[in-house]
Amino acid sequence: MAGHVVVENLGVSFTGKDKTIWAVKDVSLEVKSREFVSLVGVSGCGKSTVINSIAGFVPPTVGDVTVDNQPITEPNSRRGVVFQSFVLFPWKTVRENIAFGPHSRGVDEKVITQSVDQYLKLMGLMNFADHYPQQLSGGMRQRVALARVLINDPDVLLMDEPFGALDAQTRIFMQEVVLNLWESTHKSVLFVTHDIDEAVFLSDRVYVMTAAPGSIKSVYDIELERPRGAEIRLDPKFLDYKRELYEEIREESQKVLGPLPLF
Amino acid sequence: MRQFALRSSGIIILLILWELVSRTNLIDPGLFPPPSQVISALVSLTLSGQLPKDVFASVLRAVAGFILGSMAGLFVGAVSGRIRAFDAVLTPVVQVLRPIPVIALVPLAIVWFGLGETSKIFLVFWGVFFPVWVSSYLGISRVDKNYIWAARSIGVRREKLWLQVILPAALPTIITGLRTSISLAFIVLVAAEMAGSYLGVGYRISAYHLVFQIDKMMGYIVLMGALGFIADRTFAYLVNRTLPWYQLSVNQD
Amino acid sequence: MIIRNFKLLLGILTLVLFVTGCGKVSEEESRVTLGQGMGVLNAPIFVTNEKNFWESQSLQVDVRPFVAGRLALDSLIAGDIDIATIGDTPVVYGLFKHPNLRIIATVMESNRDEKVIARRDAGIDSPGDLKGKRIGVFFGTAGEYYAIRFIEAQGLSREDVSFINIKAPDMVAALSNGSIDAYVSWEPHVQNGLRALGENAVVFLNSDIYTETWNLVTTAEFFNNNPEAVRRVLRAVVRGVEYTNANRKEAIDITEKQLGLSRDVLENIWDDYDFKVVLSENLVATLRNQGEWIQASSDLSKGKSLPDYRQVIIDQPLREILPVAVSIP
Repeated sequence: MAGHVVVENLGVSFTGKDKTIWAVKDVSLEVKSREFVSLVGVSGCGKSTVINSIAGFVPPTVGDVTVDNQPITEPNSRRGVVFQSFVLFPWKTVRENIAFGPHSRGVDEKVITQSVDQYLKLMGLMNFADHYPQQLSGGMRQRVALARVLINDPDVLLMDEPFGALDAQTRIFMQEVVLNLWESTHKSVLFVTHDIDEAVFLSDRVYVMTAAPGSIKSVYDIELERPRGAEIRLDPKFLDYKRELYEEIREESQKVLGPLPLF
Repeated sequence: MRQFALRSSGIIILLILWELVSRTNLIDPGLFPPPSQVISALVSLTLSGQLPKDVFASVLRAVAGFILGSMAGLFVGAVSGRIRAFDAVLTPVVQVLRPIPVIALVPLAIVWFGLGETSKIFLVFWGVFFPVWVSSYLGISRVDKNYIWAARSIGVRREKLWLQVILPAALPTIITGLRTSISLAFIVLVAAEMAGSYLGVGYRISAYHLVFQIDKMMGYIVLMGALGFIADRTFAYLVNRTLPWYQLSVNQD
Repeated sequence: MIIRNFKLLLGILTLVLFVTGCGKVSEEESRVTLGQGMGVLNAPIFVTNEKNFWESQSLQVDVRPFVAGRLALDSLIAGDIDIATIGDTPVVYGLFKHPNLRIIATVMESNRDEKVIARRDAGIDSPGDLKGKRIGVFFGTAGEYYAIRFIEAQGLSREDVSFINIKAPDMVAALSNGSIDAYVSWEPHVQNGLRALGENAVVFLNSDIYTETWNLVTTAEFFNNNPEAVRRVLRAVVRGVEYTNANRKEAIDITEKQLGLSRDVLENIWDDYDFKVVLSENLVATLRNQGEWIQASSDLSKGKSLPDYRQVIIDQPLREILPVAVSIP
């Protein structure tokens, strides 16, 4: 059972011009193997920093980050990352983007071609294999980005506001795509978002972060039955979770933005 | 085809106007020879074999200087754009040398390297180096770190990042610098050839100027323009041919 | 009534303006922009500038130096300057395209100014060794004409050597670093080459092939619009030439300052220059000779006959100021 992420008392600071700025402070969370966990919080609370630490992009200043009891020292294809801005390589075609990972790890070319075809089919991108990312819509680009990560068969999937740049319809469609994928592959997922509806719909557990410097404010276990379909969004339990989480986030927003102005 | 006709109509109108103005004797045709005379000068210079030799000499100098200058600019720009220690040492040096107009170095190049090919190639090299350095430095130092993270997290090893991620990501910026340098290479070359030579397009412009052979001088000036145009088009063609994604990225951003 | 008075008033006003205006012209300063080619042959103009002989002629002269008279000619043609000092060769070239060029006086004659300087280690010990060598020449100047005549006097033709077009001040460097084997130029450039190369240099001089004239050149338009200014310039230059000849030491000092040549060097070559204000038959002859040479060697005058070089020379102002100086009919 691989893909057990443990974050303990994580703090990350950056040295600015004349002072040290803490992006996150005292974050502890856990993603058990095959669990879908979301991290929600207001903009700028340091959600992405948590992802970046687990990915191995940013070393922890204090605290520990481990996956399957191994401390993280650098990025690794066992931990796949999906970015909000897709970050596809514009100089590579869709096929080349997806093949890039196995290719640089020296996987046999025949094997690569086969599994790229499989992911192209899975993502409905067969007709766009030789297109460049710039020629695709946002939703298609994010599917390429997902395929590029999944082809490496990672234990952990780190998703940093992956649908933040998509329109509402595409977003809902992509949520269902991700849910289906997760249900068939059962990766551990840490999903960062500021969209409460999205977090409740997808997750087994939701962590709420405080405003910057972020730490964990509260944890909610989402006890909704799986598999989940679109209709679950109207379930009273679903709406209760949403309401509670909404209140939590609202408190934090007010810390950042101040109380509502009186007109 | 219609596009082409439309595009060339402007040039044709310009030529007709030029011919008419020269013919009406409003301006002394000796000083402002009509295109027909310039073209016939070009034809006879071509038939005599002189013009092809000049073009060959100039193009060779431009190409040699361009290749050397852009390779050096790319290398120094890449190294100083990515490696702190090199940045600290090299960038101030480049910044101090960069504002010197390359034309001002023509006399120095003659003193250092004489009037032969070395001084001409050196000047073109100098002229090309800086814009390519600037564009490579900026392109490479500003590569979106997400590209590097994305690559690392799908298993691309650190030592492979240079060729597989950083360079291609910076390429659009570098290409802009290269394209600017092409026209610059020709400007510098003309200045270098005018300072002293016995072959080349710039040399002929200067030599015909001094002995009042204005039709031939204009012929070589037009030729210089044509060479610059062809070089730019060839570059654009090669870029689009070898990097089909480049045009897409440029239109996107 | 009012109208008639008004007309009268206007008439008087015009008359007053005219009279005072006319009166003013002869008193008023003339402004002239003078372009000077740099060389020992320009010494009397350096002296005229330095002693400001312009001032006593009510002239305000803005002097602009040029590397060669040939380049001053471009400015004259473009109308940036009014009068220039130029050798004869550029004027002959220019006349094919600009028939409005006019010579108002010769201020110097010399058959020892232009010389050939070569590197001994390029295998050149005598003029005949120039065959097959790279020779720096500033095209369009008297140096080019001299170079051709020099080569021809050796029984060689233009094709037997390779001429490289270089601006005169760049020649020393080009010869020093070996990118040319020899060059042809006027002073100070040959003396500068000698100083740079020392024992390795060899200088050839053939004084029988060409007598160069250094001239005050203007355009027909400038003369027609400013005849008085031209006369004043001539008077000032006549004084400058007299002063140059009468005060050799001081004239050399002034020239030394302008060209950066040492006193000793200038002393040695000073007598090679005959500073005098003249308009002689020699000028017409040298213009015609060069015109024929250009006609034969290039297609510049294609289908055209040579200009009447006598008409290029305006002798009337000099004839008024210094009658003995004019020896052409």
